[in-house]
Amino acid sequence: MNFSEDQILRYSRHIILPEVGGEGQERLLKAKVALVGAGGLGSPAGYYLAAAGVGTIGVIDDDRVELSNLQRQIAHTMQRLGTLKAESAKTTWEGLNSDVRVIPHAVRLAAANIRGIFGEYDIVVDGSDNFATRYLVNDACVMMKKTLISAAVFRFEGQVMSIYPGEGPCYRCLFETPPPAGVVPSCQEAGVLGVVPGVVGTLQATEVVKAILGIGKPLRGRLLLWDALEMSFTTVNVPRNRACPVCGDHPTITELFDGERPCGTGGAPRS
Amino acid sequence: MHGPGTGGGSARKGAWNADRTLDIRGQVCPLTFVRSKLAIEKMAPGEVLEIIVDHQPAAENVPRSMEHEGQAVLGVEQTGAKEWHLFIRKDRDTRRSA
Repeated sequence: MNFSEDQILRYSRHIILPEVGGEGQERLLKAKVALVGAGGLGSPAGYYLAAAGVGTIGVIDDDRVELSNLQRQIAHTMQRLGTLKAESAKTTWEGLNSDVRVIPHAVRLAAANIRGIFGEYDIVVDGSDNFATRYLVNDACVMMKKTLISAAVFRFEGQVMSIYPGEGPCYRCLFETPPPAGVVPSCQEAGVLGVVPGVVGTLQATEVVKAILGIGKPLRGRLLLWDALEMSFTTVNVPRNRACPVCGDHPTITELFDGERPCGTGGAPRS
Repeated sequence: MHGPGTGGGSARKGAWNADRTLDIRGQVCPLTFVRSKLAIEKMAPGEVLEIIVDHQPAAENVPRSMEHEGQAVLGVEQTGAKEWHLFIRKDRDTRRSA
């Protein structure tokens, strides 16, 4: 492709890299990535993907911006309190880079609509804050063979794993079912240091960019654990579970289904 | 491989039989390398790119970066107080299969 003068300047630090070049930048511009949630994880992930020139970014979130989000959800602003997060993120990211088209999906992901939405994208980034969505997204990506960059944060800790269906473990290989309701901290108990999803969402963006460019070693079959207080990163090898109910040799989950919502609010995925 | 012409400007141009000439006088680093790299990405292996620069660091850095990327530096010729012609042959196809 022929880059515009502005594109040559904007992406010059990418083009210089032997692992990227003009060809890699072109791949980024043609890539289509879906973000589940425009919250704590989706905000930094989408921000860096937009900066990198990922040409199409879908944002799935039916929630609206609240003041309590702004401690960590950097895609949003005080001026946009009360507006849809998907629209707010579009404003921020398209304002950063006019090469990027952000497609807002202001709907709650469910078994009935997830295939239609994910079908438009190559890679999915999970920035959801609840187990129902997390498992639905995992199962849909396995069934649709979409690369999924999964992550979660809690208090001062975060974890990331890249799921390449058919090539490595999925989220259910790691945790077959959601934990029982009594074990999951309620929203009131589950504080998070604002910068923690910032780091973890940025790690997700890194995995997305690597996947698009086909460079480096993905977190496939490896769970990355980060402890901010200890400031330590650990990777744990995760084997594919041949008895996994969704990606194993004889899957028992062959249809998508909706799980229970957390906190009873029906809020959109957020972190 | 031919050496650079010694008879002045007229002999110089054809010395390495450049397949394409990129005149980026007025440009500074790192844009000199960025534009050179984009140009050579579009060429076929074996073809020679002539790059004209008037920024002294570029006369040194662009050939070094090209070598780092696996391309062959055929020669650097200073043709004026602030003008250099860099001849780079594309040896390595940087395009990866999709």
